[in-house]
Amino acid sequence: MEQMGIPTAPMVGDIFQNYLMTYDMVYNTGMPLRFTYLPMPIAGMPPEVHKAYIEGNDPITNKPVMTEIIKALTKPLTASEQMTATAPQAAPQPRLLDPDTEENLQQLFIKKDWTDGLPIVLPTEARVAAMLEGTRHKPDEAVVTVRGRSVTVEKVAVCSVMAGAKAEYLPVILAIAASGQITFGSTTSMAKMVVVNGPIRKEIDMNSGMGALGPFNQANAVIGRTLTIMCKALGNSHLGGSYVGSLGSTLQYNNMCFAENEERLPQGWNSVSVQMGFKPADSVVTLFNGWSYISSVGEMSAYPAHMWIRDYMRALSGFGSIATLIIDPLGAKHLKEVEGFSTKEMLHQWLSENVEIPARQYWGNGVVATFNLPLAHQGLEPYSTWQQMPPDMLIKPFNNPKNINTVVVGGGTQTIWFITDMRLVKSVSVDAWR
Amino acid sequence: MALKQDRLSSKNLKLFTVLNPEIQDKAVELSPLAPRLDTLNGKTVYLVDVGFGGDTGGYSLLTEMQKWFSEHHPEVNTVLRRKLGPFGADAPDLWKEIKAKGDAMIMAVGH
Repeated sequence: MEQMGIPTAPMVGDIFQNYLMTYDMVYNTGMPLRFTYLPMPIAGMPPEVHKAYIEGNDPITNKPVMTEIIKALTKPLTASEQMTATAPQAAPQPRLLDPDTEENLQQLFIKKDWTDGLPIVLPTEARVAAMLEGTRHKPDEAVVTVRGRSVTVEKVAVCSVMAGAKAEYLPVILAIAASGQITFGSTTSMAKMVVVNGPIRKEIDMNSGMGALGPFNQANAVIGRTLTIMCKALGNSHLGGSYVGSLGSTLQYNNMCFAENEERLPQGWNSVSVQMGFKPADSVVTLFNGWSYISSVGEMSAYPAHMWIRDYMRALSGFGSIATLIIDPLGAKHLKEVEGFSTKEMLHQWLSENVEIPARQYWGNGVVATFNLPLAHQGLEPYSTWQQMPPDMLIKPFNNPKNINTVVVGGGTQTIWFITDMRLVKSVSVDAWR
Repeated sequence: MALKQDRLSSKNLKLFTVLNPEIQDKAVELSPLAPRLDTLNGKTVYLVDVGFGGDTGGYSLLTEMQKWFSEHHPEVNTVLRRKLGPFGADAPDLWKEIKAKGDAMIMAVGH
């Protein structure tokens, strides 16, 4: 609107002032927008709180909010607000850092927020050169552009060395980078999950069996860690800058990185990569985004397993029909042989048709309200109908079974499963990065 | 403490040269703001809800703001509107309407 000649007065919570005036203005909008700030929280508060905010003071300037709003629209522009200019380039980044001791470099990497807070393997030229042996792609080849920043093969190799990776892991890590999913974001502290399929799993000795989601395997641990380091160093995800996750997430240390136990998939249950259109002989990495998981805790019993999974899915938001079941091979075998789900898709269809929650529970979730209420207001179904339902009427929020997924992993010591709100984002060929 | 300082500055410590993981950023082009109004009196101000937080976010806040204008500045004409679509999506039809019929826009809420 400003570019169309209409003066604007945007409003936002005061916690975001630093982000807006530094990162957002410099790298996104290029405009010194005249924000008026309000106390947090804003979304989810009742009208009387909003009334108090309107009648109260801007917590940054301590002046009345409405005075600031009117001023934003009427006070004459300053010289800097009228400026049209080519922004100065960010400081050139040297390829090599100044030589220093190991201890000083470790502290520098932490101070620059390029790490996960744990000691890293210093990315010397020799180590990075050795890492680059893991791919035929040239060091200066662009892998992906993220937040306007061009990520090269060499930069990915640097992060891989830092995390403690072996060169043989590099194709998987490059495929992860190529997915573009190398940023952390959202005030809701979103996390990631990384699932690897195909022959690469055994080539690099990944774990798809007992303890696969735990700290028991070098490849699982290090590849997951490399994703975190890439998000920080390459994806520019820094506290107070582009990262505003309120709590953060411990899942962000390893990003739930594991291999699917393809050898123990029930007959008829395809791997995640085959479901995404790849061949069984293809090596593939699939990226998921979400928040959390709920454990079944115990083994399956006389209560039908699929109904148990349904019951637990009622605790998920239902946003976007998203759910991913992570299940031990014993549990998958039970679902197929005892409960009759010949394919993963049959299970997803059944869950889609049978998970029901009250309308008020669905709309009471802030993420659902933010993303789906506008769709309801536009008259789009099923949201328009759901929005008009009495609060206690039951709806089936997982209305799109294609957004439900299942991954089989584990060592067969328990018929256990986790239900997660992880959304399948993208599958990328690992073979393309060998 | 003195011993640690001596250790760090000793010429006998091995120095390492490492690659920089940082990528050069490119800042966007700077754009000027639109000229401001002399006064809001007699003007039409659009109050636009971006959709964040559903009905308990910007829409509720701007409803209260519209009441405030009615009470304190009835000479200002306010139009309360929801931006359709997801909160991050563009709304060219709405922008055209505001350009054609409005003089200013107040937008809520970023979060």
